[in-house]
Amino acid sequence: MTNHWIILFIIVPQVTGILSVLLMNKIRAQRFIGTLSFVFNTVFSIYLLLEVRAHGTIFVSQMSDWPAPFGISIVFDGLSGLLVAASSMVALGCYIHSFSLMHPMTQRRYFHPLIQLLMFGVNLSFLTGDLFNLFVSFEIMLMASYAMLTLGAERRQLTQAYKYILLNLIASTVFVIAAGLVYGLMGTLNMADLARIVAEKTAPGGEGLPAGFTAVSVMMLLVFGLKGAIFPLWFWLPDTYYTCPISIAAMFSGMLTKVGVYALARTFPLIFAHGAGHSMIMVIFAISAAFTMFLGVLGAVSNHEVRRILAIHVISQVGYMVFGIALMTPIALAGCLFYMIQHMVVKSALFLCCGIMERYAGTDDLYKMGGLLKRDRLLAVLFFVAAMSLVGLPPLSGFFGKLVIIQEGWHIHWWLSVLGLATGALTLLSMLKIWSYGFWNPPKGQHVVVPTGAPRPRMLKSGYFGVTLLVLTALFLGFGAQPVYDIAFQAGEQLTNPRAYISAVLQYDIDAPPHEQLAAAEHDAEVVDPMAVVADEREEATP
Amino acid sequence: MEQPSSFWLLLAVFAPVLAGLLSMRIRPSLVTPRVLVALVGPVVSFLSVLIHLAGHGVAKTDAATKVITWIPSLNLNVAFLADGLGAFFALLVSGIGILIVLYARPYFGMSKDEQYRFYPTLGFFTTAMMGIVLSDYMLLTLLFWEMTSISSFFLIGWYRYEKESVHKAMQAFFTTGLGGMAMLGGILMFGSSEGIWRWSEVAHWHPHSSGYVIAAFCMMFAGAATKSAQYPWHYWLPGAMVAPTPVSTFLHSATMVKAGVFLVGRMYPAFHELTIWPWLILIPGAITMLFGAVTALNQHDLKRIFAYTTVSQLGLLMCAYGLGGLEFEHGGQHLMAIDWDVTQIANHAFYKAPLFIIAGAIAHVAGTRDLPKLYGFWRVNKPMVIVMLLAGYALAGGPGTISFPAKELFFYAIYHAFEIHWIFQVLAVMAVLTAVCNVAIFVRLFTTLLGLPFGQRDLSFDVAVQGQGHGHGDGHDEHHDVGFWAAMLWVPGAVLVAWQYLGGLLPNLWSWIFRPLEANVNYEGFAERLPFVWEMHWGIPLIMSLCAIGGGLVVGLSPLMRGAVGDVHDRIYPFLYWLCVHGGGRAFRTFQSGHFRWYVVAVVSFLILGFAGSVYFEPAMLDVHTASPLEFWPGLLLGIVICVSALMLPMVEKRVIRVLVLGACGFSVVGMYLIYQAPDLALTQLMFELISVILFVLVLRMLPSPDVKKSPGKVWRIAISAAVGITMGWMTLLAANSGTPPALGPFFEANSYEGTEATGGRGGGGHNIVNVVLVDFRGFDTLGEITVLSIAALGVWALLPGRAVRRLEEKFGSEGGAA
Repeated sequence: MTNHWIILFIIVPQVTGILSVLLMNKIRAQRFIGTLSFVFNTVFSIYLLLEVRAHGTIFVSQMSDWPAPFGISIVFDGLSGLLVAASSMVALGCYIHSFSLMHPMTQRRYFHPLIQLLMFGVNLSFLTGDLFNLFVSFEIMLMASYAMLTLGAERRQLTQAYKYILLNLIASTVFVIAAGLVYGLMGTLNMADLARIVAEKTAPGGEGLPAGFTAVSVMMLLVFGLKGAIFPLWFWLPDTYYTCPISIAAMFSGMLTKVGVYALARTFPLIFAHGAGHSMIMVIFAISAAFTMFLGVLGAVSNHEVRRILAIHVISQVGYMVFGIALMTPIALAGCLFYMIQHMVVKSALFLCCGIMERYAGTDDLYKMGGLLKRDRLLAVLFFVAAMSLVGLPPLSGFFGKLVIIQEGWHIHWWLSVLGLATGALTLLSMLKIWSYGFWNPPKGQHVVVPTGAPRPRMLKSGYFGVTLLVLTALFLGFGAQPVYDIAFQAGEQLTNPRAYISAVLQYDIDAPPHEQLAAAEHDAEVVDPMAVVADEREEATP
Repeated sequence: MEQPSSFWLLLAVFAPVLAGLLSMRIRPSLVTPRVLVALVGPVVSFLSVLIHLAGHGVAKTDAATKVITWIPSLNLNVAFLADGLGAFFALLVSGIGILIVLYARPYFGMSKDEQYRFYPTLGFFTTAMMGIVLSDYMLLTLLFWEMTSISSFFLIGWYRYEKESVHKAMQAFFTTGLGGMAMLGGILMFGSSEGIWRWSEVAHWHPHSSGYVIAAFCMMFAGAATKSAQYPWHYWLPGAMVAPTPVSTFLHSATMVKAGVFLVGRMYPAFHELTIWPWLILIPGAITMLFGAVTALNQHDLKRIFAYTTVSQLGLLMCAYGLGGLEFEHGGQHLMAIDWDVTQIANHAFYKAPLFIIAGAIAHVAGTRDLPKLYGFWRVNKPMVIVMLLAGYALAGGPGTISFPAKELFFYAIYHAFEIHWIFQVLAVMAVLTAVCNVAIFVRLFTTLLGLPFGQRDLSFDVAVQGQGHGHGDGHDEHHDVGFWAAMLWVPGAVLVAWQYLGGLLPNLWSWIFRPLEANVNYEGFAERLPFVWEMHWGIPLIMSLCAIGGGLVVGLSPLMRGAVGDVHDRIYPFLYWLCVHGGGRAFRTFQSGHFRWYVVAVVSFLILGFAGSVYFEPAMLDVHTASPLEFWPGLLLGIVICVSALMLPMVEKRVIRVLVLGACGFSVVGMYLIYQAPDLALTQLMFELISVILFVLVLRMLPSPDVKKSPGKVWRIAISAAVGITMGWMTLLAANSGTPPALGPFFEANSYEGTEATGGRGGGGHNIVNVVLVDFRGFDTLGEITVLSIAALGVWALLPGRAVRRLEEKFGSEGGAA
């Protein structure tokens, strides 16, 4: 169903970003419009999701009104919708948190416009229905994230960010080449159109996919896998979140990897996990999931700095998501989607908590902390809820993500399910480590490092507000898992059986194809816009 | 049949936590009102269960209450099952909960902070425990199961600023958490392969031993075993004794640790026909039983003694259920070797909880829990010693308590198992030895507390003198109550132990109460009621009992095994922790080495290996039908120039020359565009090359000269680069020759100026197709690219410290400290 309003998810952050640049010296005004932008995105996406849940609608908007696949399509379905909603919520939480937790100097260095433009990139990558446009949105995100990582311009920030950008540039290069190859091999870049062609060619009696398709799939796997930090491509991740301001780290930990995983979850079931290389791709996914999950959690548990533990944990949880993709059943993909959104919220909440902990203890080194519970009970409660959600204890959100994936896993890759459970136990250990060393144990490190002019702890209100917002969202995802899963199951179904997606984007009814219409869509000379035809008929009917 | 409503049971489950939360709203200084509010929770629970039972009777195992929908698509809804086992546990939990609320008040004294924290946590735990025993949905059971782990974590880590408590709390949570994960796996496997997600559905399930069922059962049992402290996972339970005594009493003797036994009881109808059932349960169970008893005998600390007897008893309860998987023949009937299992569980709760209560009370009064130091404690406090000895007598399984017939029943089960395999004679010996230890512990308690000869005695300490000054070894405050609250230190124990003697002396009454709760009543002679002491049959079981009593007397009085020994299994958790932290860290760091070059190599190798795999799966990739490149020599020539300049790039050292070589490469590409008739592209590329070369040269001039380190040129690095280059080239060739008609080009061509029918007559309005593509057909991409450039500019600008920034810096200080 056509709905041009969905472009607002992209336009609103962009316009806000531009306005913020203009309002450079008016911090309060920037904060106001910035918050407004994220609130709008959150509310609007939830509003549309209710529609999606009720009717299974897929909202499509064709850019410049050129019919797909010739223009660029923006698609808001269950998958992208849930992710947009979650990321807007996370952005809102982190943004509010930054008001008091980020140094005012850093805030004045274009933080406010950059965060808006980052969200422009993130939302666009969730919503776009075009492979090349996905590349563009990745670039926006990469540029914005790079600029944000170096905010503050400390030497160690620059060295870490250097690794981040270089590895991501490799991925981008491969992506643009691969996109070109896809166009060369398949003749189109629209994901729905690609899905249609793949389905037609791999159908019994079809001509088969062109030679080289598997190699392109591998390239795409590299690109998205690197963004999503799967094994063996996660190198950029553990050090990246270590040096930048905590509110930014929180936001990145929630979103950046999810964009990669989203791209895997979107394009592989639809397009790339087909053809001769299907079995190879699936094996790569499974092995990668195993190592990502388990090595990640081992790395996390072995560290004693809160930021590092949390950052490396991102890898481990990406493993669960890849596990869901490796199973590639509708239910497992739904579980993967649910896990993604809950992880965004929970992981960001934990990072935000870490920011406040650092303020109290003056460090994020667990061996130098202790007894924070004495200092602040609310923070302890928020942290504990978020940590147990991450571990996946029922009825918190992580449980419901893990549950579905592991259940599906038993009948396809039972060993991955076993590993998933073991990973859960080790996750518990690492979270208990933070809790025990940070909040319990003999109090120490009770001095507060507050540089001159920076907000004092009693002024951390907005920080608490941000964390509370995200923790409440996480609680909702746990106790209200049913409505979310309604959408997630729909999305999983659509990924494995993309007929509805294809017909919505290409705007013709794939289930009852008038053959001429299909042919018309393929043969450029006779392309007929179905909407125009409908309009014509209507005109004829009303003399 | 109409399903009973869930209301009363829902109330029973959630009343304690609500009351606990409510008690937080009361001002910290008002201690007694707080206790009364907290008391409401378990009382309401207890009464609600009774009301439910009065209305609907004890449910059959397939009669759950009405379903309250929660997350139906994940098979997690709210429904309750108050069958014999569940109802019994619910009454036990809420009943002991009431007593613990009363007991905690004098135990913590007037310590406001601890009272404030204790009741909500206790309420949370009580709710979790009620949930476990009443839930019908397996996942709901799991939910409450993990909630008990969490509350146990908080309660063990009660003294949270002490390292020891924190360590033990982590140990307990991790160990039971490990089991919880296994249990989750088991439930999911059973549910997804058999389609059964409720305990009540199990009744209609036809058991079969497929691989999934066996694996699911093993995993669920692993959950039960860690929770119920089965060997070798028992270590967390003695460790949990760092908690305050009310907690130890409630969680770690009477209720939570029995959750594992309860789970096995729940699984019994479903899985007991599996061949693996008796063996899987009996082997750890028997080891736990004997190991716990022997270790308990070798302890001095009262709480540790009782912790290990709890371990032992949990092993025994597991064994009782394990034996239930065996079928023996008696009088022409095939019977299962299990009988009065609920009584077996009740028996333990009714003596172990009093023992703990009194241990805490003694510590409260005497300031020590060390048995040798308590020599002659009788002179200090008589009621406590009386209650403790009464409970100790039940621990020993003495005639006149319910413990005696319960042990007798257990011996019967073993005796019946003789028929099946000789190996059960070993079990019989283990059971007798366990009983010997229990009797010996009672003898020690008796002689020591009463100050008799043969008692254990620490000569340097006289409790009557030094202990009377109200020591505070148990971590409570200075306050001591008199009157009602002082009595509450031991009265709850007396209430519980009274049940022991009620059952032992009035078996008719006991049977009247418990018979409706028993699902497994098999043996002749025990069918309708438990026998009186004098009605016991003369046979091997009775001989076993007598052996145990005799042996226990001898061991208890003897000077043997009187030291306090450590438990080697206490090292399991530290070892596991070390393994994860050090071993795991090592594994991770081998991969995440910190060397950037290795990262790039790994990423690129992934690509190359992927290509190799694709060639293997898709050999067609290797055939390309294309015209020979030699046919068009200008292209060939330029290609060679491009290749040569690219190869020169890494070899040239001076930066300026490098830039020039790069420029040469770029200009050759421009030439390439020209000869392939793409003048617009060539123009763009030319502009780009010109600007970039000029800019590079200008900027490089200003940079300091680098210290060029000649890194050793390794062959493999060249090989990797070459492999990437060749595959990319090959892929381009493939894509160019795929023969797929590009669908977009002709459309753009047709519509760039004037529209066609397809676009409803709307055209792009431009003669230059490339322009129209850039600003119209795919103008959205261009918007994105422009944004990228603007962000880059913003980012660079933010990095540069301008005048304005310096001014701000003066105002706010530098950023270093804020990160």
